[in-house]
This record gives sequence, structure tokens and C-alpha cells, in this order.
Amino acid sequence: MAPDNTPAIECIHVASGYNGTVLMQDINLTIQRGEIVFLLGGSGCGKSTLLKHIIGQVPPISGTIRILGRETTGPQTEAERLATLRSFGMMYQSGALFGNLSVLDNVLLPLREFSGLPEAVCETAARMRLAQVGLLTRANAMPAELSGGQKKRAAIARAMALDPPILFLDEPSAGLDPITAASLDALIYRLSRELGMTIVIISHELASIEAIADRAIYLDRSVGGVLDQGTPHALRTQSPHAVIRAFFNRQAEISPEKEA
Amino acid sequence: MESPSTTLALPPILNQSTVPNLIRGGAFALAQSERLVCVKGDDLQQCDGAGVAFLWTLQQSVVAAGGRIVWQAFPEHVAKQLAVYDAACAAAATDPEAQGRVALRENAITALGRQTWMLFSGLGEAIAFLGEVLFRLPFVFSKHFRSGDALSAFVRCGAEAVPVVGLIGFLLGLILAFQSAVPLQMFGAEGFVGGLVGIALVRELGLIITAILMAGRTASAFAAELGTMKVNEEIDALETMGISPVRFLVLPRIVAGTLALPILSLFATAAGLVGGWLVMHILGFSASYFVDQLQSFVSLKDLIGSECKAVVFGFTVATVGCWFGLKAGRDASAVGTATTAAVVTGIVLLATLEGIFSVIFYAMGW
Repeated sequence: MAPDNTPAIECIHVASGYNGTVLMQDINLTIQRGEIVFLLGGSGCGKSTLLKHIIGQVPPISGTIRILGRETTGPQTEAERLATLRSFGMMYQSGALFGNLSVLDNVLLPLREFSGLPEAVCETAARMRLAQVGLLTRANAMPAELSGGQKKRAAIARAMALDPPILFLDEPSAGLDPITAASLDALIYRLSRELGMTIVIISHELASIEAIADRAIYLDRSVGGVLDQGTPHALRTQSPHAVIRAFFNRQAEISPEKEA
Repeated sequence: MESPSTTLALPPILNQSTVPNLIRGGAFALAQSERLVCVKGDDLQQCDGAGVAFLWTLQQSVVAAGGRIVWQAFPEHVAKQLAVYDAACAAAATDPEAQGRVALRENAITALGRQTWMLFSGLGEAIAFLGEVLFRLPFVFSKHFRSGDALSAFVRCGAEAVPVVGLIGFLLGLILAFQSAVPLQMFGAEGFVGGLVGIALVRELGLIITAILMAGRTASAFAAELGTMKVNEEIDALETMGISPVRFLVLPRIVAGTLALPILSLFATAAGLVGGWLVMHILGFSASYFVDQLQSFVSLKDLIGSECKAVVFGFTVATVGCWFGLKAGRDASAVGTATTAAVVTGIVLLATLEGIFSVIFYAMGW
């Protein structure tokens, strides 16, 4: 096990993109353990692609990525690869629940496959996860019967079923009502503080960012990487980049009539 | 106050790695054999989801065995998680939503009734669909017709099928000629092999084998394409924009299928005749003899009848593919189900239509 002071995630000179299209040439970022970090940036700037590089779904064009000190961009043995995969949970934007399994079975799947716990404990653990995301009453439902927000919450329950040290969430609160979104934020915050999980979120929900982010990292294609990073407060008030201040103050789209 | 009869001291770390050890150490067995279990959490520093789940399951098993559990010196966040889950379970127990769906148990008669009902209601929908297709067919000649889509569908279901259709047709003619040559030789009638192969291929087999191939290649592809669009809500988007999916998606494909099958079937027949000629050549007959045979046994009527059937078959295969694609469900297995249904229904319909055509042609004296 790597010593505790190694960063959870390191991207060093990563050129991001795929199929030969370079989205960003030089991404350098470090995410410490236990941090809640939001990846920000305009639509299509390559946040989701960077996440795909980090979780190893798409290899970056060049550069080095380390997860918990383990390099994932070079050659890896099968055991190393599995250990890396086990060290994080991933929630996809659509939820990506298995349609032929009930919600409970979706959450149980990783527990049954990897935890080695007896069935009764697995099931309790899965039900607890569902209770945490407020879906205990829908445990026996099929994913097709869930609303969009419920699918996301079920997907978060599945991503954190094995208590991974790192959790990646792609747009967790997009499309949720503010109350559900706030309870989701509270859950994410608690996971980070109580279990020390590192949580990386792609989201544009300013309310969530303000509420729980330890740090926000703003990616921009014009500089081919990280434009600026810091606490949401610092970025809003002190960032030298107008685009970031505008992002946090939501200025761009307000029409003159509305301002008047 | 009764004193605890047994005490379970928890390790400092309670997680996925340590819980199985505790269970192997007999935690559950111990808990079930005693009336009162005291669980000490003095040392407990770190407890993950698996740990909390273990504690809760332990509590359940003690209570189920008629005992009682006492938590001693527990970290607040663990106690809180247990309490929160207790509350969630209590809330869920009274929530009608959580009562679980009662599995619909049906006996054989209900099942038969349901299946029959589904068959007939499905038939009604299919007829309505066919009606819409025929109603919109004149649109093919409008300038808004998506001829580009039709062309690309034609390339996929026609041109790209040429190699496989040619190979199967050639082998069919070869095998037919070879297998019939052996018994005919016993009667000294091997000279008629050419006529036999010609009639069989031109009237029936060339077309049938091509139509079945097309049901496998094209009906399935159409069903999968449209089924995936249904799953992605693209069909819904078209309907919301007021664009008929039949006009936009189905007609180009039907036009492509209807035009492709007659041509492909001609090609398969020609390839089959080459196969038949090859066998005749091996048996020592000349090419001109083979052509004479064809001319005396096969008439233009045979070819025209077969091409008429090909148009109908092509229309049927393409329509069936589109129909099952459009009525596909929305889950991951929906596209697979639609594809299978399209191929099976397509082949069944081909066989049925073939029977109907046989009767019609017989009545017409063809």
C-alpha cells in the first residue's frame, strides 16, 4: 500500500484527446487524498475525456497519470490493473445501470464479485448504500422504472458500494431538483469527511461547487490545460481570468433588460 | 441489571478486509448462541460501509435468535449510521412503494389468453403500420423523399450482399446439379440435369435463398438501427418535431429492400446456373447443350413470376425489419429482441407468401 501522503491522482504533462484529435496539450494537476475537487470548463473542453483518461478507459495521447501513486499510463500487469480499478468508483452521466438487474442487484454486483463478504452482509451493505442515497424504497425496482435523478442516485450507490478511496462523479446533480441535489451534496461531503474518500466531480452546478468543493480546477482549451485552480471563493473573487470570474458570477448570459 | 453473557471486542479497523476474519472467527455463531451480546467499540477507529453492514446484520441475527445487543463505547458516526439505516428501514416498511411488486403468477389459461391477446393486438398494430406505409408510399416520388438514405440503405442491403449471395447461389446450383446427376445417371437421364437446375433456380430456389439471406442480413440490420434509435429517443424526437418516422426512416429502407431483392435474386440465380453448368461440364456435356436445355425447360414467364415475387418479398422483409425496430422496447435487451423477432417473422412470412404465390401461379397456369 502506498504511503498516505501520495496524492490520490496526478496528471503530468497529459495530452488529452482521442482518435488523433488533441483536445488539450498539457494538463498538469494533482488531487490530494480526501479532497473534493470539481473539474470545470466550458462545454466540449474535454473534461469528460480527461476523466476517461484518468479511469483508464481511453489512453491519453501522451503524458503520465498516477492513481494513488500507481502509474496507470505505462504497461501494467493484470493484477495492478485490477487493483487500480478497485481503487475507484465511477458514476457515469447516464447512470449506466444494468437494465436486466434490479436496483438492489445493481448495487450488490460489485459487493458479490469482490468483497468476499457473506451474502447477508453484502445485502445489508447494498441496502445501506441505497438508504444513504434515499432509494431504499425502490430497491426492488428495475432501472427502467426509475426517474433520471433516481438512476443517478442508484449509480452513486453502486459506485461507492465497495468504499473505494476515490470516487469519480460525472454530472451527479444535473437534472435533479434542488432539494435532492443538496442531499446528494451532503452525502458526498459526508463520504469525503467520514471515510476520507477522494471525490472528483465534473459538474457545473454552482450551488454544489460553493457548498462542498475544497478546490475547483478550471480547464480551458485556449491554454491547453489548467487555466486556474483554487477554492471556489478565491476563484470567484481573485482569479486573474475574466472567464473564471464570469463563470462563478454567472455573468455572460444575463441580458441587458434583465439586468435593468 | 443482567450482565452481558458475551462480549465481542471489535478491531480498530472494520472494513472489507477485516470483516470476513471476524465472521470466520465465529462472530455470527457466537451472537446467536447468547441471549445478551455486548459489542465493544473502544478500539474502533475506522469503519467503512462493509463494517457498518456487518454490525447491522449482526444485530439482526442476534435479535432473530431472541437475544439482545448492546453497543458499548461506539464512535458517534458509526452509531449514527446504524440509527439512520434503522430509521430508513422503518420508513421503508410502511412505504407502499417498497412493498415490492407482487409477481404476477399466472396459470396456463391466463398465459394462453394473454399471449393470444398480445398476438391479435400486435397483428392490429402491424396492419395499421402496413396501412401507413402504403398510404405514404406515393411520397417516394416527391422531391422531399430522402433518396440519399434510400441509396445508402440500397448499398448496404444490396451491393454489399453481392459476394455472399453469389457464393451461396453458386454452391446451391453446384450441389443441386451434382446431387441430381447421380440418381439421373441410373436412368441415363443425366442430360436433363441442366433443365432441372434451371427450373429449380429460376422459379424458386434462387429467390428463396436470397430472400432468406436478406431476412438475416437486412431485416435484422433495419430492426437494430431503428431499435437503437428508439432506445436513444431519436424516434420520439422525430415524432415530437412532427416528422413521421415512417416517412423519414422507413420509406427509404423499404424502397431499398424492394429494389435490392429482385436484383440480388437474379444474381443468385445466375451464379447458381454457373454452378450447374460446371457440374454438367464435368459430366462431359458442352456449354451449348446446357443452354439448349435451359431454353427448352425455362420460359420467360418463370423469370417474370419469380421477379414479381422478389418485389413482394423484398418489400416484406424490409417492412418487417422496420416494423420490429420501431416497436422495440427501451431497455438494453430490446434491440436484440427486435432483431430476432424481425428475422424469424421475416422468414415465416416469406414461407407463407411463397405458399400463396404457388397457389396463385397454379391457378394462372404459370
